Amino acid sequence: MIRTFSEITSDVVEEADVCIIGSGAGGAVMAKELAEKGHTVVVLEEGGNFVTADFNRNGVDMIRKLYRAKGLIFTRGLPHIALPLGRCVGGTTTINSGTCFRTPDGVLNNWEASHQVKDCSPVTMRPYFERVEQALNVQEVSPEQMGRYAAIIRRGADRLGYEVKPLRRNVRGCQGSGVCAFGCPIGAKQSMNVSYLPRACQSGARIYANCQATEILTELMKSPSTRHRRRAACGVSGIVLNPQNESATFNIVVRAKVVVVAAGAVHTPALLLKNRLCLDSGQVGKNLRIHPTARITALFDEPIEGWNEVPQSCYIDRFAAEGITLEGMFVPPEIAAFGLPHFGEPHKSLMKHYRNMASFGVRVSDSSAGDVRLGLGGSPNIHYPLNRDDAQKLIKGIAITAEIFLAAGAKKIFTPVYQYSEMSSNADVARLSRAKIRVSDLVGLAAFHPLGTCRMGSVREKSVVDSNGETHDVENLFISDASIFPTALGVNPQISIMAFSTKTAEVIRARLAGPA
Amino acid sequence: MRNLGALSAPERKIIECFAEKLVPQGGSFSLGAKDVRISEFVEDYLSNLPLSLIWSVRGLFLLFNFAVYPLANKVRPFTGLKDAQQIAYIESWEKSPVYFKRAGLKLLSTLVMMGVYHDARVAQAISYRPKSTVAE
Repeated sequence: MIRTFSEITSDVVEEADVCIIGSGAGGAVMAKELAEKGHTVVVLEEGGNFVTADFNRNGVDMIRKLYRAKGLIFTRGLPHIALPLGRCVGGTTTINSGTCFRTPDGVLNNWEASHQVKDCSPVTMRPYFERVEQALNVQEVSPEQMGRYAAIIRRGADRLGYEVKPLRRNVRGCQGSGVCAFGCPIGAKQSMNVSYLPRACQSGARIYANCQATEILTELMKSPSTRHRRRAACGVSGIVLNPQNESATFNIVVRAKVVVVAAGAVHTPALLLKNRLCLDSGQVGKNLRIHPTARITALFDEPIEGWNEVPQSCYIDRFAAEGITLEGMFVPPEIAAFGLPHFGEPHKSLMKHYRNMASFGVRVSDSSAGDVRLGLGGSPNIHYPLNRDDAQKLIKGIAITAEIFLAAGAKKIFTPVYQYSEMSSNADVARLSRAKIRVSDLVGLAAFHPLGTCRMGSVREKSVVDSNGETHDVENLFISDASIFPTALGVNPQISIMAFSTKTAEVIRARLAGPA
Repeated sequence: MRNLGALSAPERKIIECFAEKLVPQGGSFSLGAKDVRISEFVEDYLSNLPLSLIWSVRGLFLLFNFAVYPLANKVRPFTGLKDAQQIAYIESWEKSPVYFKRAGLKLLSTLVMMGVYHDARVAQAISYRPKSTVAE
C-alpha cells in the first residue's frame, strides 16, 4: 500500500516493528526483506509516488518531479559540483542509469583491514550480492543494445588498445528508451519503485509518500547486559507535504521498535545532526565522497542519435587502479545543451548537429573529502573542495577519452576544462595533458554517488555505525544507505547499498525475534 | 509564502535579454529563446525551491545585469547595452579567468538552455526524435 498526500486527510499515527526513512536502494530492500518475514513495516518517503505511465521522457519535466531541488543541488567549495539526487518513491534508483557493480574486492578488504569493519569480506558478501542481483535481474547489456555511441567508443578504444566492457544493468525487457535518468517509461529498469517496493507492499509494508521525517524519537532504556541506561530509538515523527507548494499539512507519527534511516549520504547525516543524535564520534556528516564526474562530448560526421540507446551501456576500467573509470553517459539535448561551450549562433550550430554527437563520462574514485553540515532551517549544506590529485585524475581521464574519440574519427571534442573546452586534434589533447590545470578550471562537473558521511566501523571514536549498520550511540537506530561506506567505492553504488541493506535486515530480524 | 520565486518585471527583462543572446532567433534553426516564454519557464522552475536557492539565482541574474558597471566600465546595465555590447559582455564572463564569473554564467545559462531545448518545437528543429518504446 502506498499512500500519498492526496489520500491523507488527517494526522496519521502508526505502529510498526520497523520504521524506515527513505525508499531508495537502502530503504526499499530493508522494507521488502523485513516485510516478507512477517514484520510490520512503515516507510516514509519525502518525495512523490509516480508510476511508469507518469514517466513522459521529457527530461526537464521529470527532473522537476523526481529530483531533489529540481536537480539544482551543488556542492560548496571549488569547484561547485552538481549533485543530482532522487526525491521520489524509489529514491535515486528511479533516476539512475541502472548500472550494477558489486563492491570491488579490494575495497571490501580495505574496509576490513583499515576501518575494522567486521564480516564484509568478498566471500561473506557474495551471497548478498547474488540475492540482490537475482531479484533485480542484473545482466550484461547485449551487443544489440550497446548502440552506436558504444560502437564509436569501441572503434576508438580498439585503435588505442583499450578494452571496452559491457556494463551490467538491472533491467527486464529494456528497449533502449534512452531516458533511464528520468524514470524508465516502460518499467524495464528494475528501480525500487517497480521491484523491491511492490514486493514489500505485497507483504504488508505501508509506504507513505510526500512524508518528510523530521524527528527520530528516542527514549532511555535499561540495557539488559550492562544495566546502564542507554538511548534507544522508538519511532519517527514527521510532516505530510503538499507537493504543490511543499507546505506541511498534517503530522505523522510512527511508533516503532526499530528505526532505519535510509535517506542517503546527504540527508541521513542532516537528520541526525538536526536531531543531535550519534554525535559522540564527531563523524556524522564527515568523510563525504562523491565520485566527481566529467562529461566529454564529441562531434562526428556520422549520425549517432545516442538518445535511442541505452545511455550507459559500456565502460573502460583500464585505469581503475589509478581511480579513473570511463563510463557511458548520454543525455537528451535539454541537458546536453548547457554542457557545451559557446553561446549564440555557434552554440545553436552545435545543437543543430546534436544527433551527430556522442558523449562519455570520466569518473574519479575520490580522495577529496567533504562534509555535510546543517544550513539555515536545518537543510543540508554540502561542502566539498576537490583536491588537486582528483583534479589531475579528471584531466587524465578527459585526455584519454578525447584521444579515444579522436581515434574514432571525432571532429571536435568538448570538455568542462577552462581554455580546453573545445579541442580538435591530438596536439590539443597533448597540450591539455601538459597544462597546469587549477581546480577552478573545471566548471560543469557533476557527481552522482555521495557516500561516507556516517561511516561504518568497529571503533566508536572513528565511526557512526557498527559493522551491522546500527549506530554506536543509539540502540535500535540503524543506517542503511551509502553514508555507511567508509571510503569511495570507485563504482556505481546501488548494488553495494542493497547488499549491505540485505545484510543489515538479517540483524534487525534477529533483533526483533528476541534472544534465542 | 511560496511565491517568493515570482520574478519582478526588471528581472524578467534581464532573463529575456540574456536568453535572447544565448539562443537567438534565426541561424542554424529559426527558433530562439524569444519563442519559448523563457522568463515564465525560469519563474516556474524556481517555484517551490528552497528559498536560499531562489535568492541565489535571482541575485545572480541581478549581479550579472549590474556588474557591467564595475567590470566592463559601462554606464548602463546589461539590459541597456547594445546587442554587440551584450554579446561581448557575456563572452567576457564565459572566457573570464575568474572562476565565479564562469561558474555563475554556467548556472544562468543552464536554466535558459533547459527552457529552450525542452520545448518540443526546438527539439524537432534539431532532429531530436526519440523512438517510441512500449512495455512488453
